[in-house]
Amino acid sequence: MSERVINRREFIYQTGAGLGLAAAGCLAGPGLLGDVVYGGEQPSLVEASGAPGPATRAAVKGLGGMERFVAKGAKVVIKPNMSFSNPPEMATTTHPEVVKALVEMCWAAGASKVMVLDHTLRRPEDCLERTGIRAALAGMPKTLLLVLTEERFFKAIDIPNHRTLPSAMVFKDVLDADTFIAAPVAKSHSSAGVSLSMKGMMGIIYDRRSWHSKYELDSAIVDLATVIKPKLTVIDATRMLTTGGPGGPGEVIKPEKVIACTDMVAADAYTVSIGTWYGKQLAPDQIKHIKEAGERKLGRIDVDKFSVTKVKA
Amino acid sequence: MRFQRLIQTVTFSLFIILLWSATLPLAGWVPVNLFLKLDPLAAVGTFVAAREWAAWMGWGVLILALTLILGRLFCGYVCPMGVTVDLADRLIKGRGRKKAKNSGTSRNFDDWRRLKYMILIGLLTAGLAGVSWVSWFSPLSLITRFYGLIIHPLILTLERLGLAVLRPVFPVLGLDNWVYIEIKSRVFSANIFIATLVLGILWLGIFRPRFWCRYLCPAGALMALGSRKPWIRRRVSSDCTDCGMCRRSCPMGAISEDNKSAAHTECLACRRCAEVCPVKAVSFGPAATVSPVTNPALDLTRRRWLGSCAVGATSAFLVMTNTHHPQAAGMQHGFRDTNLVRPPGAVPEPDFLAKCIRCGECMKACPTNTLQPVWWEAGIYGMFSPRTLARWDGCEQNCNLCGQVCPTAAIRSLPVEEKKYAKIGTAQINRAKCVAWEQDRKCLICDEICPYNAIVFQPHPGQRIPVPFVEEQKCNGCGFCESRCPVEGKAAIFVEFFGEVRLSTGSYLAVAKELGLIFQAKEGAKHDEWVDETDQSKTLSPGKNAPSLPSTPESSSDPYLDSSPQPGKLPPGIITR
Repeated sequence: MSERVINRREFIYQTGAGLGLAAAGCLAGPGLLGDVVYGGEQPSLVEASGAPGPATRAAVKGLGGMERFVAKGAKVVIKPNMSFSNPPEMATTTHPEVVKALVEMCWAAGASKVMVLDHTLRRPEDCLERTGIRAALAGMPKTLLLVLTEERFFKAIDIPNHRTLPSAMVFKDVLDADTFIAAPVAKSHSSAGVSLSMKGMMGIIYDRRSWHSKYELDSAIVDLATVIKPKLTVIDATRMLTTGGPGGPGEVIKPEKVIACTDMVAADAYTVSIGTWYGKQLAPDQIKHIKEAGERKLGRIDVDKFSVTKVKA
Repeated sequence: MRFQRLIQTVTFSLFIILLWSATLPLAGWVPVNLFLKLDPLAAVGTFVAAREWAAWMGWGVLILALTLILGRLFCGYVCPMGVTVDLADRLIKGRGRKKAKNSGTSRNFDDWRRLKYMILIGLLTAGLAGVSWVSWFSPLSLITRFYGLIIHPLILTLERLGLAVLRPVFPVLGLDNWVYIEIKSRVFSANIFIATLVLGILWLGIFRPRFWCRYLCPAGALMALGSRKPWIRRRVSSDCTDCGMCRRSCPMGAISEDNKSAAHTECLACRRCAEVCPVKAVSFGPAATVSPVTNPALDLTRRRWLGSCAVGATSAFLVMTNTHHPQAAGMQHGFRDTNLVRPPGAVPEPDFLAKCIRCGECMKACPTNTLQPVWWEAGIYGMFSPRTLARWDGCEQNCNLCGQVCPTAAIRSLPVEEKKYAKIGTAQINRAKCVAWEQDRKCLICDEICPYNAIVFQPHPGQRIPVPFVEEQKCNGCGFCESRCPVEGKAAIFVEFFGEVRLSTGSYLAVAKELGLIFQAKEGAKHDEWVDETDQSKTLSPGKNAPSLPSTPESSSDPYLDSSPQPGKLPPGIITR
């Protein structure tokens, strides 16, 4: 309970101008590389090329390794996109090898609990089966791979600096986690334009419907990003669904890249810049929710100005 | 445990295991619908009504043939309805049966035994007219429906409750992760009536044990026809002291006053008489010389024969002149509720109604719970037949369970690829209710969830943002759009049965190709020209008179607020330059 209060306060601090660093320091504690920063600071972003598994490892290694994000005994929640009951080739869900690599790295870093969690759009069983994620994690029985749908797994949190979404029911386990990792797949989205890590956070929410019918979707995505901030964002751009998203089928291209970043907004912005969307090259500020996140100082979207470490796996 | 109870426990457990196994993933080697196929009435009744011989009917015929050797052994040892009746009878016995002197020869009740034959005659007469009442009288249909749609959800609900009660204890036991276990219960419409029907049958046990089996079950009547002199039957040796214990203990009241002869048409070979006999004079085995037969005369006078036929024929006439009948009064089309969407692979409607025995196996199996029993929407004849309830959930595109578990092939068993082309209906949009059309909301849930990419968002004259259209040739009718539509009450996008493809034989894929149906996305297959020029709503759209919505700070830069023509069809979340 107390941890949650700290989290929320931390979120409020972070969204308050100039207090982000202090809050991050409090959270990270001594001895850790606590430079998880938002807003004006330079994000550290790694783009790794290669096969899904190795590229994921290389990308996280480039950021300083999983130990930077997962302390010994930490409770980790990884949020891939497994919302659709489609095979990995359709690029509507995170590649199972990306998820597997992340889980393995978390255990290796000394995590005490690793959960892979989503609130899927399609039937949970089908999603776990057809995305290949269950099979990929089969060798790691301690890892909790879950699609949770019951209300008791969610907790209402306020969003103090909201534009449209005053509160949201969020997975308790995400709120309680020591480390929360966003691991979306890079894909197009017929309303939001793209569905990356920020949009993917709708998968930790209990009631998504109202986001469409009651609130402004783009602003709601950003509102949630003011309070839910993954310590690490790993975007699976090994395949990109450039049309027909989020559910596919649509055109799939294969950049064979994995992007890792401490700044969710920067990760999204960068991924937009390296992709093709609906047959077009787009600048990050052409995606409304990314543009708004930048304007609201939640992260950097000026991709041409940040340093990107490129590695090959 | 008594021998009969032992066997019943085994067969009943198997019945439950098979029924519970009717789920995803389906174990290929288990014929989950085996028990339904064993029902001779389902076989004979469907054969007559559908005028079609199918391989599965062989099971029922085999059971009928076996009665020549074993009598109504099926009723006593295999039939799950029989087990359920026995269980209920035990409860009733504990609470005092209504002065039912179980003498077996109580005159007035014995007359009732012919009722089951009359029901059978009426049912087959209606069948000759093409109307199947199997679902109302087939014991396996009744009981599968009961366990699949009533008891299974009940058990799931109890499991949910149990889990909720035990949840605080899990961490203490070191089972922390058990708190994440979710058990989803299942829901069925008309379940009260399904339950009432079976509970009513069980309640009749207060008058006589095995009331259903004695007096009503036409499947029992069918088997009784072959059981007049079964090869293996009850024998009484000369040791008999005429104590009458056997006669009083017989659950079917099949033993005559003389205690020696029995009505084998009523005997279930349960062996209770042999067990209670103090001098072990009763045994079952190949017919010996000392085994007199006193089958009650069928006592089906010409008047009763004709009466049964008349009732059956009248019922068929009523069905055929009911508005809901698919060929009402011989016309090509009857009235069909527009929401009455049938499962994928369901054979053409008249044939479907004749073949479907309403056992509920498909509904039990359906992973999304969208298959629901019909109550009045299809008239009394269509009662308890399956439909999709898209507002509840959609039809999973990679699933073909309903066809795989259907015992009578009323729903064809199709490979998944074929099944995707078995179009069950078409979605349409109620623009007056859709939040994108009516309120300029960037809602795309229908598009997002659509597994077939059948919904496209297009700019439309008079609309401020792109609005959804259904591409009918891509719409499979699965109904996921309807299930997730965020408006309250009736969805703004909903599936009706128009455009459904129903084939008795042949490939859905081939027919879909002829019809130009596309159930897989093809690049460039989107229809940019898809703007309905004849549409009246662009001038009548109430959207412009709707209360103005709070604008977001971004709205000024929203390209879709411009009245200039829009390039392409980019999602509203993308700002074009």
